[in-house]
Amino acid sequence: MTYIIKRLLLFIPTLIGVITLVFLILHAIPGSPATRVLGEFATAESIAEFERRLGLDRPLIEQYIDFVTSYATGDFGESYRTGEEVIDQLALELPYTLHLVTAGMIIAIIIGVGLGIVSAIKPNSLLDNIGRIIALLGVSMPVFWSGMILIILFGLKLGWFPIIGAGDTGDVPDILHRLVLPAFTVGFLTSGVIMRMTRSSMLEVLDQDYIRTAFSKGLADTIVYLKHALKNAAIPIVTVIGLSFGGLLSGTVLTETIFARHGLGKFLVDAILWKDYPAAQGCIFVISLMFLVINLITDLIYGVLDPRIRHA
Amino acid sequence: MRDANYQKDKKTESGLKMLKRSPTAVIGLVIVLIVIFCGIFAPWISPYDPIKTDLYSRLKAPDKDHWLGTDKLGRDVLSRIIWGARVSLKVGVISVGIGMIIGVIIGLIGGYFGGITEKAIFSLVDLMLSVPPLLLALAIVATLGPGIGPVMTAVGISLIPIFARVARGSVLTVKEQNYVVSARALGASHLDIMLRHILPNILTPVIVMATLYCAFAIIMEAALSFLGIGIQPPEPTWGTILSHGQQHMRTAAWISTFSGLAITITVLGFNLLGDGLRDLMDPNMRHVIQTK
Repeated sequence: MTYIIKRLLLFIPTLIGVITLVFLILHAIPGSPATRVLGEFATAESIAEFERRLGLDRPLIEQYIDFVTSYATGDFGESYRTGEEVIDQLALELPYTLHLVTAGMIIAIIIGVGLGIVSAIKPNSLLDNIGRIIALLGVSMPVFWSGMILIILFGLKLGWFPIIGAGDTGDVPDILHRLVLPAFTVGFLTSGVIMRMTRSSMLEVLDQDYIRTAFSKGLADTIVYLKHALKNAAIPIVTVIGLSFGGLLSGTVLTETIFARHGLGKFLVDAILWKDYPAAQGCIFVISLMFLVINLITDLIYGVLDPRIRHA
Repeated sequence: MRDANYQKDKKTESGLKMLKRSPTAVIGLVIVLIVIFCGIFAPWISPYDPIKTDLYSRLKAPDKDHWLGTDKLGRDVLSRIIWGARVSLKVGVISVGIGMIIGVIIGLIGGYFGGITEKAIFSLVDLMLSVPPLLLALAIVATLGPGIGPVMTAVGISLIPIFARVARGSVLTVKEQNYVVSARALGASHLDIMLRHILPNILTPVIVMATLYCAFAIIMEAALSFLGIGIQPPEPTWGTILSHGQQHMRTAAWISTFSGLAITITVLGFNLLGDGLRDLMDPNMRHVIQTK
């Protein structure tokens, strides 16, 4: 219990830190954001008006405190481009990204852990080599290219899946149908890292005496591999799954752009291209928050998997 | 002297021998060398000018004149890919350089002094790690604007926390070694100990990381350029070629196919080389390789 409370308390300063980082994005570099938004030919009056309207003419520390308090209360400001509340726009985009992230991670875990176990059971076999090549391709292929190849093959040539958009809300079969290619794109990217860790972690565990004992007392192979070996090899695998969420979220930004899907990633790229700073800041904050929450969950899972951590 | 030469020969020989035992590292090395060759000699080996348009040969499929076809402005895809190697390598090397130099300095100071210095430095490093790297780079490019300089800075900054952590980890082991303790006992200054005794001994893992993160930097540059916020046209970069190819996926799939292949092969090369180097330099893994 103390472990959980300790870990939860640590979350608060990190959150304030991320808000500070997001604040700095707009303010850390020389020159006013007004000049960046309005262009270099903007008149002094229009710049002054812009700064006054957004409160950018106030002392920096005042702006910072204001920024942190509004972020803490869920007020991300108004979008420069549409004038709408950023939080409302983000709430509309979030479900699409969550769909993609969840589906992508499920695919990554199935491919990564599955291939990793198979490779570790028979190291240096043909199957192991094929698995390792797939893993290497997973980490080496840029996600925006593998996505395009899937579009060309399964969307344009074979016509099995739609290639653009995320589907209408409520139409579940359509949403799932449109999710297949993007989810495989991000899932494949992440599966390589998970496969490598599963393989090496399993190889280490399979070498232990208790595995030999389990085999010699006549237990079925599946039980030994899944119950005895995988459970003990799980901590590094869970760590790498938690860590690879960062890559997965980055992959999502790119994948949403390739498949012209709604979502936080596409929203962020558009906000940056339109120099819509409040929207970009809000979006970066929400994606980082997702990453932080996932890291928190990973740490809590450690406690469940390894009692030594829980009681440390 | 003779003894030193003998030692040196022995070292080179075992290095080559070990490299022979790790064929994947050799494949990686060959790929990386080919890409470096293309980058350096691009003006001499590319068959056409990479930015010269030729509207009579727009979107031509690969043939004997244009081995990898042409794009929508009639520019030769092969030439653009060869020139693109130059940009990718430049971004890869310089941004990893930025991340490595600043990261190692931070890691060295934090790890060596420990205590409050370490806490202060590494709470900032951990904070930077709490934002996914592509997002951090996107945010930095968003404020600095597009172009090769901002892209290198953005990718470099996003690599700082990674190198800082690796460097600190190694410093913590090295600083307890007897030779560091004796240097301190002999009255060597902190700077002297850090630069002469610790730094040379933490370089191995740092170099392995640098090789692996070159691949990462190349992918990041391509991603930023692909999204239209990195390096801008007409400069040929793999990311922009791929992004233009996306608009013609239906009719001219070769543009995106070949430019993506160039990125994949290069990244694969750096990954193989980095993995190989790591295995060779890690004594435990060396044993595994030798007994295979």
